[in-house]
Amino acid sequence: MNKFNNKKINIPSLTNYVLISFTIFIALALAILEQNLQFKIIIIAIMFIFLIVTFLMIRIKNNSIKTEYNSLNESNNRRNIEQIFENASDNVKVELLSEILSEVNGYSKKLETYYNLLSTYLSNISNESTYHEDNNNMIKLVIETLSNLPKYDINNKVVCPYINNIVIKNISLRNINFNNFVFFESTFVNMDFSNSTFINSNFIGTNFTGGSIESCNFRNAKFGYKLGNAATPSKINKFTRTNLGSTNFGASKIKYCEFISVKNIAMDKLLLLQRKFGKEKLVIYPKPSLVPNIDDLRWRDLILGNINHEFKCIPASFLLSRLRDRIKYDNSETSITKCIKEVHVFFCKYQSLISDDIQKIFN
Amino acid sequence: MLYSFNDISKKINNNELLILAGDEQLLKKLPRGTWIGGTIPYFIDKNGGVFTKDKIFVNELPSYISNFEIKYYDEKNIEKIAIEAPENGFTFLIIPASSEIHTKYSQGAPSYEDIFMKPIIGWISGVSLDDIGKESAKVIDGTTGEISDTKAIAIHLELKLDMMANIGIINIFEQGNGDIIEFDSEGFSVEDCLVNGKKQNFYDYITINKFDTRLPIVANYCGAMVNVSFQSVDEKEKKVNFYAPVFKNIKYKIAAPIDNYIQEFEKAIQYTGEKSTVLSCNCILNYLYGDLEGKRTSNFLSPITFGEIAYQLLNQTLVYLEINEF
Repeated sequence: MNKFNNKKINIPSLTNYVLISFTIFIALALAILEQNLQFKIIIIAIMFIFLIVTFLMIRIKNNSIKTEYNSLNESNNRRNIEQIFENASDNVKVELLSEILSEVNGYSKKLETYYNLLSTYLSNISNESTYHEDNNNMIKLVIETLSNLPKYDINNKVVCPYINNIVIKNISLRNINFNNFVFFESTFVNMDFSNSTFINSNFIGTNFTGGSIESCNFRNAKFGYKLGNAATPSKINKFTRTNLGSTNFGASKIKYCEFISVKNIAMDKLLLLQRKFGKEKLVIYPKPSLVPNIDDLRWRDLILGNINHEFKCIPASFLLSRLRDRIKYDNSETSITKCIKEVHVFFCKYQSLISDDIQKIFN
Repeated sequence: MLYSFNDISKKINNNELLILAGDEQLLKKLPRGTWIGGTIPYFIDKNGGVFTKDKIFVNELPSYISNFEIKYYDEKNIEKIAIEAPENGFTFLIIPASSEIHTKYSQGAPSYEDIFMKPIIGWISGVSLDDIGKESAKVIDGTTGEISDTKAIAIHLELKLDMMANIGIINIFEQGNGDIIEFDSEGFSVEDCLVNGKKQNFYDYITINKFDTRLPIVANYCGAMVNVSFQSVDEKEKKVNFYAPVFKNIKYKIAAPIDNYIQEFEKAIQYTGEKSTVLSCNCILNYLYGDLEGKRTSNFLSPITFGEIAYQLLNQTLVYLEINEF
């Protein structure tokens, strides 16, 4: 869109106005002083002709400026702005500069207005009581628009788009730039955010249930940090059954975040993250298993009595004793495999009760 | 803790979830409500061991129990008890002494499906020692008032997912330094045994060596010491009878002697650490042999029973249940 279209052009022409006024004054003076009626009529006629010609000339000049101005602006999207400015006449240059100044002065205010407008509208149509999946196309459009707005004002100050108290479901928002966004107490159910960027974004009390944040960039993103008023208590963020494939939280800052049955991320990777941020800050459910994989050969040794361990936990003692007894009667591979499965299930279920035993048995 | 009949009635009328132990006549008169009970007149209360038919021992179940189901089991369906138990919770089971189901559970429980996957705790109901042979031990379902000396009563209790029940035992007995004893048959009575691999009549072995039959034979189940207590030695039939069954392929030893029951209990309790105990029960043989009347065993207040259940039947053992929050 040409931002200069439909603008009224005012060309400053003081010389013209002085010249016209002087001509009218002389013509009127001569007409009054002249006794001969015939000459009077001729003088007045000449004056009118002069005025008409002058106005026509001004008009032609104005039109030519306007035409030039408009033609330059119409080619605004196709040509380099520097070329446009260079080729413009002085009058047009003045007009362009005044427009640029006006645009720049209104930029921050407009940006703020747009952000407020879109954030408020988003909150209105997608909060817990108003959200309806029929509005998903509109919600998607609003979020895309919001994400495409500039993230910095003219003073290079960060502008943070707010996603506040919304609950939305089943929308694909892949490859979206969510940098600098603040997500506050919002819930995203089965949303596909794959390949999106969340650099410098801030998450406070936000829940992702299901869906995907696969291959997303969370560099410098904050989870559970206080925003603005330090007295405001921070809120925990949750990822529940969300696909985290190829997403790295290593460069983010995590203060309160729960990962509940998350998908496509190796447990050792999650444990590394937990070690980095601390168990209280990054909580993993179900709690990471201490129990070795069922393929581990030490299970066989335990069942066959090659590993001798005396349990403190009563059911573990009884179970292992019973299974070893069973192997004495039937030491076939099928029987051993069945016993290993049984003891593995027990260890998984009661790992919190027998964690010391597990560590001793499996080092 | 022991309560008067009236106090218990009030608790029942307040819809409290209770496990009761007391004399049959008192239990029968109680109002209907959410409770189960078993007969027994021996207890360890605040003032120590006591015999009474005038009061009822109460285990108040915690308020965080999210769901429960009371059910009778007989010989036909007792095998399903662990399958029917909640995935996260525990089951409290009371079995009448000397019943068919007592025998069946004692011998079969270790091989029941899922038996060690879900906590099952409980005790064997009994009668006054003077009434053995005259009266039968019973259990009662408080919701219906049905009383039985042939069926076992169970209450399945479900816990919230962030809680876990854990059964522990305090056994003051350890294996002595003597011979290894094995049996080639299973049951409450045995004739022959293998002593260090050599076949011998078990009655002869006990009497020739003058073993103190107040001491149980003890097996080490991968760290858990499990007692089998002597009931009688039959000179005429040269048989030895036990309060719990012995099993094949298990290596038993006569327990090391105990000097002072109370001191040994205190030592064992210290070893296991402070517990947030919800329920417990102790064995009548500890009460008798340890002369516990008027004496108290730490903070474990409990009925004194004819056998303890920690998944399987145990003897001469204190069994307790704790609930941990994660």
